[in-house]
Amino acid sequence: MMNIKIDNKEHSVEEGQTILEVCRNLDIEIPHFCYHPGLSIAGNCRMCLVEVKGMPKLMTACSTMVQDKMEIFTDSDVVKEARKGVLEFILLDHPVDCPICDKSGECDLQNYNFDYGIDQRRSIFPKERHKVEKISEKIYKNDNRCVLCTRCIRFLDEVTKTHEFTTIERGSHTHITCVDPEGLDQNPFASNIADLCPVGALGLNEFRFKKRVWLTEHVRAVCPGCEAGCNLTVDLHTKQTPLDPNVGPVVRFTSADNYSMQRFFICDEGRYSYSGYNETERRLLHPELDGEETTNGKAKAFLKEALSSELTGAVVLSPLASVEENYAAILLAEQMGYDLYRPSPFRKDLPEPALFIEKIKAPNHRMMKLLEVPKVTDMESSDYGVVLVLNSIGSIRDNSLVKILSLLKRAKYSITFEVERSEFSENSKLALPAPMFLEEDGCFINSSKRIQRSTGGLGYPEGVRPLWEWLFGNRFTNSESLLTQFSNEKLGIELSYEKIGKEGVEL
Amino acid sequence: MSEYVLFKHLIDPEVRELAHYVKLGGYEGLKKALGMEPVEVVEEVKKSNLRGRGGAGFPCGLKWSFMPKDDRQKYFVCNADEGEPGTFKDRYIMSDNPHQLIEGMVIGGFAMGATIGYVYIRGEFQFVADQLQKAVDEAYEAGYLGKNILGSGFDFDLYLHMGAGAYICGEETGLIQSLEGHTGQPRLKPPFPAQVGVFGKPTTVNNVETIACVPDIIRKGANWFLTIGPERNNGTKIYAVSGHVNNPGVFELPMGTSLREIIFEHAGGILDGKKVKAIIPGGSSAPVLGPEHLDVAMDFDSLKEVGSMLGSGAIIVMHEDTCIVEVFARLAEFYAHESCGQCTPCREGTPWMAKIIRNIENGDGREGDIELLYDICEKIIGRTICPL
Amino acid sequence: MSLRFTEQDMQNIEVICQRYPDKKAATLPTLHFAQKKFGYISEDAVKAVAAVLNLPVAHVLGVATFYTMYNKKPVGKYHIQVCTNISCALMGSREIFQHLRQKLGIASGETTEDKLFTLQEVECLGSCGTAPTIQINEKYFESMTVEKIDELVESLKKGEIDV
Repeated sequence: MMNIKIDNKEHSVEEGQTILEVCRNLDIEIPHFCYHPGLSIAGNCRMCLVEVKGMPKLMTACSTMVQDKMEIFTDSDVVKEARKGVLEFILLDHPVDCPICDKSGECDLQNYNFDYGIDQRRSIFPKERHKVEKISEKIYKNDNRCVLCTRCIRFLDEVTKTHEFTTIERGSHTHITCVDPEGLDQNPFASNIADLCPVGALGLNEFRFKKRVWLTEHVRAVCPGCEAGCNLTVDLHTKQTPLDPNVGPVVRFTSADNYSMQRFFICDEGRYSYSGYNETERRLLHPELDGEETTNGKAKAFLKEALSSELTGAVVLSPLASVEENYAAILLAEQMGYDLYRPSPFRKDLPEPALFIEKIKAPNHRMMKLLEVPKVTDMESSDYGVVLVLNSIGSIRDNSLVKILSLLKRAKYSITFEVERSEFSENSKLALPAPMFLEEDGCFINSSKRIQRSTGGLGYPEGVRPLWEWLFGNRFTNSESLLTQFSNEKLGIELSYEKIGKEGVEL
Repeated sequence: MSEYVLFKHLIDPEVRELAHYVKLGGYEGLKKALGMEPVEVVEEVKKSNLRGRGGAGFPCGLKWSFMPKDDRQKYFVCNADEGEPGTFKDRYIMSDNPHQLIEGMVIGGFAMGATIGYVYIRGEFQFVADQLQKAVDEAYEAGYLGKNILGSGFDFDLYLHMGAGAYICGEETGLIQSLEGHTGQPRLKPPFPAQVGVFGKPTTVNNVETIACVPDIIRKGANWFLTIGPERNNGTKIYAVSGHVNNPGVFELPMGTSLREIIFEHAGGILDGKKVKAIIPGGSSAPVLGPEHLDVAMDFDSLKEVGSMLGSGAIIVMHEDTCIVEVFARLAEFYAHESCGQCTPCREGTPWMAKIIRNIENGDGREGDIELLYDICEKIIGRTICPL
Repeated sequence: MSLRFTEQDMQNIEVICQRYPDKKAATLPTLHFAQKKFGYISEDAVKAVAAVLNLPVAHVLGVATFYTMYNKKPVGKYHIQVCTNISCALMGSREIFQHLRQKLGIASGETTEDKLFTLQEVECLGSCGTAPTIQINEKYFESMTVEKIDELVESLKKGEIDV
């Protein structure tokens, strides 16, 4: 640890960090365009210049390591003036077309200029104009807005190593070009460059003119696409204006930084999976008894009858469901002496490059592995009187699916907890409507045994209740109480949502 | 006439040939160096007060001493990019007295433990490179380059690398980038080249003229070098004079010769007997001097005192008929054209300045333009990756 | 029709590569080589260089467009490059350049219809003591005047001298 001063305030910080990293951890804003935690340091935008006592020139916070007794000024007049200068240079040729720019509302240039920038243009020269290009199926490029931070190039060179972009020419003629549009469309991570772009120069064709971002609500979630556990920022459509077409409720997924995991990107498959959550055609929103819609009261009565039947029972967990939902099912099994099983998760070959993508296409498979729950396919007999199956359609292998179906068909009391009408719900006596991803808070344990929290920004739809409420009534007041009990009893540690925080905890 | 340290072709026009060079004491310095400890060679160069002739005037021996003493591969790179407008000195060393540069490279390589050298020559100088290559071939043949040089056990390979038209490659980290096969965009420092240079290895980059001073410093001793030129500015300097003079050209003179002597005695005075209006004393990046500064001594410290710099020692003379605004407009256009485009202030600021000055030149200047130019300058200087 | 290097070319490029610890460093010399062979650096030439050095096309394209000596368009038999930087400008290179523009009827960067001449305004050629300096292909012509350039262009047209 060493002692430094920032803006005349003393701080004790760890060695081996840059000024920018230290300031980020202390919540001191250092504006920047080219710096990105997941990429190499370029130092080209000059936006992060700060004053360091004893140095003749301003220093780039992104590349300067902190040293013991360093005195840093992030808001002195000369620093403010330098920021103003850089912004003025950038805006010389920038179209300031915020009203039609999709980045507007989450644009670094817009925000910085508001905070530190110029209010009057001093250049009398016309701005250079370039055509907006749809450079590939996924991406469009608007050179007019580009600040040449080269984040996109560095991402494609350093992270995916696919080299689709380069700068061409030099000086003020420098611009970014795509040499391989097909390659970009095949790149399973290509769309990250739209997130990475600090301005509106790169965007997704899919999102173009679709939504003003300030009309959406952002929640942090864990991608359910595989067991990598990437963090998502989910944009939810909460307000509508006449100018705003009716899209949503899930507007898009973007990557959310996770410094503990050193992960700042998501795959395109995960990113574009958002639209699936807007399809409601097959949604189960009421309990169904023998295929007919029924009341909550009748559903509860059926449940009560099943649980007091004293027949043998089996509970099949789900790698798709959260720790809390699965734990509710485990508690039931323990209480009733039912057998516990898990399906085998669906696997898919990895794309090239795969980076952190996992073969197992379910977010919470690791939980079942940790608890050593036996596989449903290893089950010796499938004759049970009571069977409860958690929603797992789409994330499990066919042999598991077949086995579960036979379980359901043979049971006297077959109960499924399902998001949509499916083969499972159709083959069970009672189908209970389950909340889907984004409708309830819940934790997931990823392939590297990190438990992370996903936020349910949408809330439960009318008629949909969590599993623990169906099973235990008022015993649990919220999902967090299940999580805490689970961590105490199964992991031997005390966890809370606060402790898990934004970035999760490694188990 | 003072002695020629660098322009030995003025003593013997055939000195580009090995036999002639050897006759004038060539490769004696190398023999002597190989008999010394590397650190002694560095010390001797330090003692000589040899300062970088490329522009910055950084002490050469000190720069050499920054090289780590571990067993990593090290590189010694010669900057022969010579792109600063007004500068045309190194080409004569390379074409007319090439062995002295080669000898300096081998000595430097030995002193710093570098076994590979590159000479980065601007692409337009193919004809200069051809001459130098001939000399390199001769030196290999004679055992001054290659394996086990003169039986010392020291190996040194020297390769020429042609640039391709970019002023920014004269900046040492831009040059390193270009040598590695990239665009010549300067790197962030630290790390400095002595730690992480070309191909990620410790590297020293020196200008042609600097390196060519080394053989005689070793052969005759640092004390001899100290007898030439003023204190802390020792040695001879090649002054390249261009513009409105009767006899433009390159002149090797003791450091600290007055501007007046260089212009009027050596470069033959001003064209048509006109008056001096302005002088750029150290290549186009050096602040302009007026006729009142004619008596300034042309060395690093004296020029700094009058607010300019020696730079590459390229003197551009302008007489009374010159339109200074036109000159500035042209220079501003040059810097805009040569900006590498990497960092914001230079990429955006230089073309803006060029447009404003061109407007003034065209008679379309506006009130406040001068203040605006000053302000833009302030927002560029010291806020970029490279110092150019 | 894509461009290709011959076996012999590959060997020459291999010799270039041996000067460096990695192939990327051979980008500039190989582009020079390609320009000599193919006349200019077309998109195909960029791809050929990338292929022979096993480098991303993006890298080679970035390099080829950064440096001014790589011609991205075909040039005439004689590529006349007039320095108009300060020392040459002081000695009258602007006039020479304007004269050539009129004489050849082309602007900077353009080529005459007979494909004989390409005219280009360039930055400092490092020959300021013999200003104005003109480079034609690889050869320097120094201390030029309007009269001298007239003569030179005529001799080139007649094929009396070659560069």
